[in-house]
Amino acid sequence: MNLRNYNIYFHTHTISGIIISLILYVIFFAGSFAFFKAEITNWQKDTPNAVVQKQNIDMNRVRDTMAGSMNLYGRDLYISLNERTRKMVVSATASKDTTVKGRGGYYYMDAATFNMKDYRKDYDLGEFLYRLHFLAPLNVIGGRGFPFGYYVAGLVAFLFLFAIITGVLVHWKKIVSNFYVFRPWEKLKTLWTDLHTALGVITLPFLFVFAVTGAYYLISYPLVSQPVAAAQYGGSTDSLFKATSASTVAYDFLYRPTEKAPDLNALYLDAQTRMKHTHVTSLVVSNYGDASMHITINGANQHKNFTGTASVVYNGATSAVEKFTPIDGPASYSKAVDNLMYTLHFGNFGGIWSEYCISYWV
Amino acid sequence: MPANKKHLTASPWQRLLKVTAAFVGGYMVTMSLHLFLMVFVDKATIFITMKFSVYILWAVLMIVAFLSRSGWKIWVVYLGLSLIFYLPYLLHMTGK
Repeated sequence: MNLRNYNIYFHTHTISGIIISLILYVIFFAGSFAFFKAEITNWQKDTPNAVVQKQNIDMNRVRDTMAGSMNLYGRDLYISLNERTRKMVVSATASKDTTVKGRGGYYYMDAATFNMKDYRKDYDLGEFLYRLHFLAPLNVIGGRGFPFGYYVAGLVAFLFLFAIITGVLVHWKKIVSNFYVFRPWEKLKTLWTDLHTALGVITLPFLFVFAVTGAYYLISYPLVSQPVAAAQYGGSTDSLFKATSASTVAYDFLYRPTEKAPDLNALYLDAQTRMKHTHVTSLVVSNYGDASMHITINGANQHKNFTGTASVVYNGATSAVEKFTPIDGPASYSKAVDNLMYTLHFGNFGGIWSEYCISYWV
Repeated sequence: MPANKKHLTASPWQRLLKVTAAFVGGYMVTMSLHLFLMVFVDKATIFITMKFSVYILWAVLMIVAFLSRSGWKIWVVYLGLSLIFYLPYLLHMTGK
């Protein structure tokens, strides 16, 4: 190999590694625990997962509990279920009918007791470690509107990608032979050197994926989305995301309240029989209580479909199925990329065991 | 065994130029190239691809900048490439 290039790779690998090392240590440490956020919560709160209760959960009661704190008319309601904990996320947007007061809100609900708490009241160790993983506590430095911590974490992720690539280039020629070198008794330095190269090669695919997806999650908004919106979408990131993301559609609000409340339980059970071999991940009610109401129930199964999800969309007034996306159907490019980024970063592609292995090795 | 100093850039100005070319110049080329492609290919598809391609290309361009012989030269190359890729937008602006 060209000696000059080798030394440049070596030096840039060293310097970028030194710059990010301390912060990256915090990110890896917190991230390894953040994989088990749900389990940490279950342990701390002494609320074991309630699998059976979640399968037959009374969705009408979830809705009624939410209605206890606000008038639901015209709002979009999101009820998210987690396979690994009975803590559900329930949230509501502001109503599309501006005469309905209240901004909505973000709450947690216990699937076994229907106890609803707001974010601050339900804060726990799992949530703390999860947020520490992307340096959310540092956001106070930038003040409102400037998430300093996210940007630092994102830049660290990007420099980490640079360090990974230069590291591979440094070791390229001896990547196979050095993999089998281990000299723990020679001197302390050879122990560290050999571990650094061998463990680096073993964890390489995971590190690469975490660096790219980590940078995407934290710095893509200011560095990619905003410039693209400015150049191609008239400066509006809203219209950019609307044109490129495959999330729930917005239905036009009709200002005509329906007479009877929808039976969410019937739809929840019907969706489960339609979306065979999946677990329900969320139930979304758009324009609640209006003639334009729609209910979308989403399901997933990583082992059946790595990049796509299933969903059933019901008409809120007639309960008729308007759209059905089976789990084994083809996924759009946009949806596949989004799901892939998420699945790869959150490490849940091989069930909980992939998370154990990744957090141990990385 | 740190890197051999005789192969590294000694002048602080040259180093500053290379570091800025790597970070800023690399980013400019990456973004302008993707924006350039958006003019010819479906722009939504490009944007979705950018979710991962931006960081990989940017990191590679950073390495190229550090490998260059002269900081001035690499800045000229990166600025020139950005200008060429951004040309459709510049023409559009002046055409109005």
